[in-house]
Amino acid sequence: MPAKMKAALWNGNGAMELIDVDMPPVGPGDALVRVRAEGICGSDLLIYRDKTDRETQPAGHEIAGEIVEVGEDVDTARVGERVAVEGIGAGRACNGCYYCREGQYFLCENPAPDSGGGYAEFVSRRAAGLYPLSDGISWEEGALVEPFAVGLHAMRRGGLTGGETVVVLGSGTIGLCTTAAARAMGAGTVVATARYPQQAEMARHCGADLVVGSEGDELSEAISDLSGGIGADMTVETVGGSTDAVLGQAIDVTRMQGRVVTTGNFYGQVEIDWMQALLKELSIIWSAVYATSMGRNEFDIAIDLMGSGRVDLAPLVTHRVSLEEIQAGFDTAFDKGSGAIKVQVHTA
Amino acid sequence: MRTMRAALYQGGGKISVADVPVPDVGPGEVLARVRAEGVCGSDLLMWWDKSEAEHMPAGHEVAGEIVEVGEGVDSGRIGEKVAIDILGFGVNCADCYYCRQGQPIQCRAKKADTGGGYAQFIKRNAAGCFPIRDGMSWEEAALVEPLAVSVHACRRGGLEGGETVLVLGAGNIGQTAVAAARAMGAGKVLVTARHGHQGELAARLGADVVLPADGEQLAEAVADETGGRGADVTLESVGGRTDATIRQSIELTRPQGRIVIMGGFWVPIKIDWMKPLFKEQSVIFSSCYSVLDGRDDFEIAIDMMGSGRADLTPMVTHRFGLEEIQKAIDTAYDKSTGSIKVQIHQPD
Repeated sequence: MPAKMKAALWNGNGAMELIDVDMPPVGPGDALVRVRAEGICGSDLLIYRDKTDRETQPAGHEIAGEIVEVGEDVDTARVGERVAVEGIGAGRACNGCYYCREGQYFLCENPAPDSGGGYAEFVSRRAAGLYPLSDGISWEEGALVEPFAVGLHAMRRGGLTGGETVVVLGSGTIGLCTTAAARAMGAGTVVATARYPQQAEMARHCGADLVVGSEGDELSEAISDLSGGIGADMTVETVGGSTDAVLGQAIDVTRMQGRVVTTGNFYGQVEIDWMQALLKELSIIWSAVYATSMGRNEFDIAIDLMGSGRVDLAPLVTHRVSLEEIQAGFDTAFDKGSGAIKVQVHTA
Repeated sequence: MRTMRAALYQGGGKISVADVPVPDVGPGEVLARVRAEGVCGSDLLMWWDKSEAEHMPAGHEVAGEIVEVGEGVDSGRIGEKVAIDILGFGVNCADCYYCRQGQPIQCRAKKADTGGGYAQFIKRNAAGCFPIRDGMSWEEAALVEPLAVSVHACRRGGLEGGETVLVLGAGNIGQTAVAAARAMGAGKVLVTARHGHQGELAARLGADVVLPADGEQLAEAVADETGGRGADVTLESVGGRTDATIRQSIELTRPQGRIVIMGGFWVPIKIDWMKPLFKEQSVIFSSCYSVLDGRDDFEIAIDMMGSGRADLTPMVTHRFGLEEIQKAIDTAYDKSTGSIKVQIHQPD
């Protein structure tokens, strides 16, 4: 392996720069992955917008690639394996603390230091966080395992049961993956909100029975009509941001004793109508990334559903750029007028 | 026209007893002679803000004896000792969507208010009158309602055997929450109490550890009792005009734990959304009682008390006659009297 690799880092001044950085270390239990596909995530976009200092390590957490080297104690037969990288939780987890013992790697109390993410040629993670892709899954799809696992986690946190009416607020990548997860896990009627035409079309592809605009009364009227005024069993919020309007919408369209699952990041103090939520006896369930629960890790469930063809997320990838072209990729991802849904960085 | 004595709020903190008509009993209804009626903190809070006089007696913690039955009600029920669900099954239409789901509190066509338990007689649907067990006193029977509130909260929160439960507040609902959590299989029960006598009572009702209502000591003590993780389930029973107990709930509940809100909050609630997101908590609102999984919370509360698994009798600190209601209300407001539950008793 060379001592240096190319990585894209935020320069603190509105642009990504490609520079040579040290190869990440491969310690005991680790494996080195050559990145083949890496998705640009909305949370990266939001984090960068506010960041004025220069990054010292590449970000990027929607990663698919090939194991090229293993550390001590890792089966050498894994070299060459095609994997989806769980880089946030299991890929850095200590496996010794309370949360790791409970399968909640994202909550690990002693995670390994960040050695850089997927906006680079290589990434190093704990081998336990590298999930083998089934043969039929392309690199492009492999890099969608992560956001799809987020959608599956939201369904499992919300306790979806077969036949329930699910509302998905937002049709960005996480919204679309959530719609696909609801459909695959047995929801009855799935209703999605979308801001852009390409999102609405893709929400239908992912299994939404009905797609409505994200503003105004369109959603509440549609839910009222299709549920006889009762409301949705479960609503998943996938938008976040700096306004709480979407939470008001969630409380409004969810039925009495229904569940509101919230996956979006909200910055600052968020105000909700507490008395309406109390009198409707709602549950507000926060859902962050993915985990192992009931004996199954959501990365594995995602790979199973995608590999078996029950879920086809490939059309989500609207734009592909090389690592050298990453700035153009970010510009495209920011500008939804470009028709962008998922922009990925691909390396040959 | 038959008349009865009833206590009517006059505004400005004054309540007085007057002669009012005895309600007429219609089909499916019964008339009960009120034997015991508890003064609830929510009565006090509502009155606090109310400047106009009432025309109907309030009071929703009612135990009494059926003295008259309407058309279609088994006359064998005359003489029956009952705890009355006056807000749900006592007044619901039994026919709308919510009634069909066993959620009569949400009934969209409730009967007009004919008055509550601060009176000699009360009229309700026979279906809302739950027979108490032999051996239960009137005093205990009038505690079925506040116990049902807490049973409902434990069930809404999905309390499982062995879990650590933190009850915030040791007023009436806090006390019944301690007793319910204990009877429903909680491992360790922690409770916060503002007043010494509240803490002592909570310990008698089953709390393992009594904690101060605020301050740094509280967080440290909860951490000590839970291996640094926080409670599995937190039952918030305070509500009011600050969000202090909501902040406490988020801080003191473990990652992925459940926060059950019983208190009413009369101020806009702002939340730092990222804290519960990163801890993946659930906020579950719990209002009154209902049928869940084929069992009414009133029935469970009666079983719990009748079987001796929950002995709430020490809760009743003060007893007054109906004519002494002003003194009763003043005593309930003034916690320095050592009051927990103040009841109006009408033995004959």
